[in-house]
Amino acid sequence: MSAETPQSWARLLADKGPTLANYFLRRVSHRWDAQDLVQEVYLRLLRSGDASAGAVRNPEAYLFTVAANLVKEHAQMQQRAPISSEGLEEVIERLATPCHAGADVDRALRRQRLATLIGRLSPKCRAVLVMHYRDDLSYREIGERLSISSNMVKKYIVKGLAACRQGMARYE
Amino acid sequence: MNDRRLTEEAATWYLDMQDAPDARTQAQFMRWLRRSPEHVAEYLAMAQMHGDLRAATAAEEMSLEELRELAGSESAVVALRAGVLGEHPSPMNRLPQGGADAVGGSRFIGDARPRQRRTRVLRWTAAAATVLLACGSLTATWPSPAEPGIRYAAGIDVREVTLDDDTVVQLSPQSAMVVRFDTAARHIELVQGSASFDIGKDAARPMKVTVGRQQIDDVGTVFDVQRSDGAAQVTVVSGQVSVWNLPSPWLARARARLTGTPAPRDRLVDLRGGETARVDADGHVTGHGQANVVATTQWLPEDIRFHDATVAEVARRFNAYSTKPLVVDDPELARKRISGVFHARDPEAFIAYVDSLPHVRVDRMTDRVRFSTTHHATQL
Repeated sequence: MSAETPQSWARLLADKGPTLANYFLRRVSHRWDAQDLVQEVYLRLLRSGDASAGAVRNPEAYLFTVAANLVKEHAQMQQRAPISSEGLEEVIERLATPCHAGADVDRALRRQRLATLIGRLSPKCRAVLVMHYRDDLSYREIGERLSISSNMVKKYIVKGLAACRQGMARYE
Repeated sequence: MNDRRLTEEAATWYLDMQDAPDARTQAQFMRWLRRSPEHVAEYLAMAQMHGDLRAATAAEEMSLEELRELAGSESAVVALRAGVLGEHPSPMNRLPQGGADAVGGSRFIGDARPRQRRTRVLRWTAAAATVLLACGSLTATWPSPAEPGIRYAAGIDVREVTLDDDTVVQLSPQSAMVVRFDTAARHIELVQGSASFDIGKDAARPMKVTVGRQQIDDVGTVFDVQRSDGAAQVTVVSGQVSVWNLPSPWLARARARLTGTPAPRDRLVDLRGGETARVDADGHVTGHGQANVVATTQWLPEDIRFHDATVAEVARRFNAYSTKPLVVDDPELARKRISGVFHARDPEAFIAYVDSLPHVRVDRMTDRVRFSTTHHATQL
């Protein structure tokens, strides 16, 4: 699959990754469904086989393609929103638009919790995270402002991501 | 938390992938992803977090300059010490962990110990056979405390032990049991705390569980026992058991020596699924009635995680929680291998999953949920 994926496709999928992951982990009606889908993605990753492993040039795009395909199949199976003739791009576009009112409340709550979690991070970690995500500064730019190495900046982002992820997991 | 490392790995990979990785890094990432479904899930979760963080930090009102000052307010000395403590715990910090290890705590042992235990089980079985030959008439009496057995203890977490007869025991934190199996019988003694037993089938070797002076005979069941101050609380989740009073050890020995027959034991109470009874230290039943299974099993883990396990194994894991056991009636279906994470208190998700397999039929009966296949089971 990925061997034929054009470069632009890979870009699109990588950009839409968060939306797709969000759908995967939250939008499905049943919690088990999400786990089921993850399971299936994993199996397909395994099935892509070692022989063709070299062909998977961009595993992340490959991962998201597999995920998008599954979401499409899943939607068809549920027959809630038949997407027979649409391409993956439309599927992902559709995912970006929440289909029920609860999603907005849910998203607002999630954002609020996340803001609380960010507030609890160590000052440096918090500053790095905000500079990276809000102001789109590169590791080097952040490093210069805070007088730390680019490597340390990356480490702070990893720590921040992990702390937020684990903090949110406790809410879910 | 246990998954912390996995989460940080996923975060690192996520950042690496946004950085125009070379082919070698891509291949390494693929290998990482393929390690388990948890790796895939964690990576997706990280992608989601990445998107959420953009939205969440947009609300941050501090200017870049204020952020710089904030970061500067964190003294370098404090940061360094915090890092050192976190990564290299001092001997003082390590003490509690060492303590847990000593009582056989689950998390810190790794997998070296269970393997060692397995060989010990085999060795002990051989020894037991010899002992039985030497004193045949005594075999029916309950072994004295001096008799050997394998002791299992839980540390700060619930510990799950699968014995070689396929019995699955979950020990609540700080609980301990001694297991004595031989060719003719299986004995488990709950020394302290609470445990949930899901007894493996072995018609040739009946299973007896003792708690102080009480003994429980199992007839293919899942039950919980709680020991406190000599009293025992027995709760049957599904199936049925009989609770007996044992004669005192000296009486049993004297009788065996004089008459060559084992001392009789008194049947105290029979319990069915959903029932509970409390037996005090003197062997009197002080309470007998409907059980609150959820309350009794509240110490059990909240989710059931398994990797490449059979449907039958997973179904059994659920049976520790529910008065309606899941029974897999088709051997082909029972052998099917699956992986996943389920909420332990919600067997419905698992039932729905099994139900979604082609040719599978789910029958909800009054006392159990039965999985069977309609036809073409080989297509599972």
